[in-house]
Amino acid sequence: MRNQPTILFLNSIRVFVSLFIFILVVQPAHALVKIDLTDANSDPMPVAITDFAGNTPEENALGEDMTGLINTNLKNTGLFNVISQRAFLQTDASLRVNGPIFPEWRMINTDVLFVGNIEILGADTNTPKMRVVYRLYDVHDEKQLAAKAYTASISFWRHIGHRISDDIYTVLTGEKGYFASRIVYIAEDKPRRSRIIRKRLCVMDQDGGSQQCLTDGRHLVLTPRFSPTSQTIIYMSYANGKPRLYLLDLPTGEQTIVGDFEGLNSSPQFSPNGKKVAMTLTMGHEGNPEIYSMDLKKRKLKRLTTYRGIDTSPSYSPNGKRIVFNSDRAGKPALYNMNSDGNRVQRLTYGEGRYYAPVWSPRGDLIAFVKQLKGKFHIGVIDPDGTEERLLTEGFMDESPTWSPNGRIIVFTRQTRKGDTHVYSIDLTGYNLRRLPTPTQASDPAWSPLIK
Amino acid sequence: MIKKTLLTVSSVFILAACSSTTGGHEQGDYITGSTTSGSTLQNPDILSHDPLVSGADDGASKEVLKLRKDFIRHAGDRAHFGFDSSSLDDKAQENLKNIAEFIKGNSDRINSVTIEGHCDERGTREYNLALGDRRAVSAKKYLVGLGIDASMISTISYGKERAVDPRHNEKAWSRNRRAVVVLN
Repeated sequence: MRNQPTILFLNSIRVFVSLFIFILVVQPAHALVKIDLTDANSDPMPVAITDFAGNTPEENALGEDMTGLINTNLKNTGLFNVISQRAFLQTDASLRVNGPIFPEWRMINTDVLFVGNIEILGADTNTPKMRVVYRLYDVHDEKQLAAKAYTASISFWRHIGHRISDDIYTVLTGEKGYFASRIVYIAEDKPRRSRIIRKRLCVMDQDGGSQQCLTDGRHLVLTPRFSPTSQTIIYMSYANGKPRLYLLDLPTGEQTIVGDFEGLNSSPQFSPNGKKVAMTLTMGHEGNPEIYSMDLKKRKLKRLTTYRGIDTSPSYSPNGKRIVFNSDRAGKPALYNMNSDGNRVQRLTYGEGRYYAPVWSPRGDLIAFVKQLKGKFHIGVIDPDGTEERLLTEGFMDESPTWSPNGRIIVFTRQTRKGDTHVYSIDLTGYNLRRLPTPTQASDPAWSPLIK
Repeated sequence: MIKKTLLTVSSVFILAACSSTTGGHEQGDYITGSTTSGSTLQNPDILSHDPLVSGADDGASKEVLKLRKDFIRHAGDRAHFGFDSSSLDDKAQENLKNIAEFIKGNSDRINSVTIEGHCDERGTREYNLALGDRRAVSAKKYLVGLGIDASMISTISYGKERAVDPRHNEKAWSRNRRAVVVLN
């Protein structure tokens, strides 16, 4: 284990993994009101989120925190108009006794009402639990849209809040959510009197909560990615004096080097089943970066490209059969597609400008990429056959796109002309550009799958 | 091994103080003429001491430090590249010839040579890591062609991670597109 990047805070990494959650579906989701995610011009849906009601100050405080988290999640989507609690006519006390009085909610022009209860179990034990029950109502039809109960350790309250946010999102949009997920990224800061930007491997919840840095910044670390099937990260580090790839298992903190291959080892990307990694190596053919895949169990390498110039940034299709990648074989960087064994190479982009960093959407319907055109950088999307190009952003330097687990949002790195670097998100509609809250400057984001 | 990395990285910054300006032939497909915006830093070559890369003081012997000083004074330690290019123009070839002459003339003082490949910031991280590798290897092959023993040269790409000029304009980008030769 010598000569490996040092990993910090192993004990706290363990916390967010083994979740023991008991879920009771009181009533299956049944939506009458609905948002169309493909329509960027639709008005935000008005929703009223009441505080989770408890019986003790502790329960009420935790309930308010949960409500706040759900509010923020829903607001951040840009799809919902979360009505201020100050506008509510029906009081919490009345809600408890009478249940929803729908005319009072229709009066404040909400479409949807969220009501919840919270109870802390075993408050005097070492492992207190919480039980939350919520109901979602359509206030026009006076119908219950969904109801569910969660029982879990109190330490998972944020996760449960994200799960409930996902429930609400799914009921109201008909699509899978993305709130119960994490983002791994590179934190950037400049220690005093230093000219080099310090880079650390960090993870956070998608809303910026539960920030945790896993390396101490002594070594250059780059381009982390989440496994689609486990709490494993693959990333690049110069810890050994050479650019190498490392696998980091978050639950155990255990770390392994992917391989000590001569030359550049870069651009890792997991296959959809998490069993393989595609990457860029120069190996013996120095000066010629090629794409390889590796079976992680057998540690067996397979070379996928043979072109003399640059081939890099591989990304698997969700069914694992194709790989989209970046190559300069036609004289400038463009996007190409091949079978995951390297056969049947097709060029996807012929447009003006330079294309980089393709990433296949988890839905399979689109490929995100970076485009350099006339002094600007853009995040864009194309269909998997290379048609229907749409540019979603424009900036001095926009790069490293990564998809939300539901394929509706792209998070990316934006560097301004002044050099400030942060992680932003943009909806597939091209709207709702938002900077993600990170304690320092940040780059190279990669989204996890939904955490169950 | 770690000590060696620190040495390599730090020497870039120490040596940067001696770099010469490059020819202005670089043309990308970006808008040119933006060299005055972005920063008020007039002379990025005057570098402050960096605690992250201070390994040079611990690692390199006095002899190696002296060797590097001589190297920069007599030969220069780098060659520059055009936008998205790893080919060596006349100026770059001339620089590498001087470097080869120095290495040959001081072979008794040199244990090994590390060539770092670097890029400007106008490309994605992964593409630039690949491009930096090509630049370092391009410089290595040229030195080998001039008679330097290939087995003593190793290459490493830093992509766009170690800009010598931190500004965000055409002039900085042309200075950052480079291969740097580090003697050990």
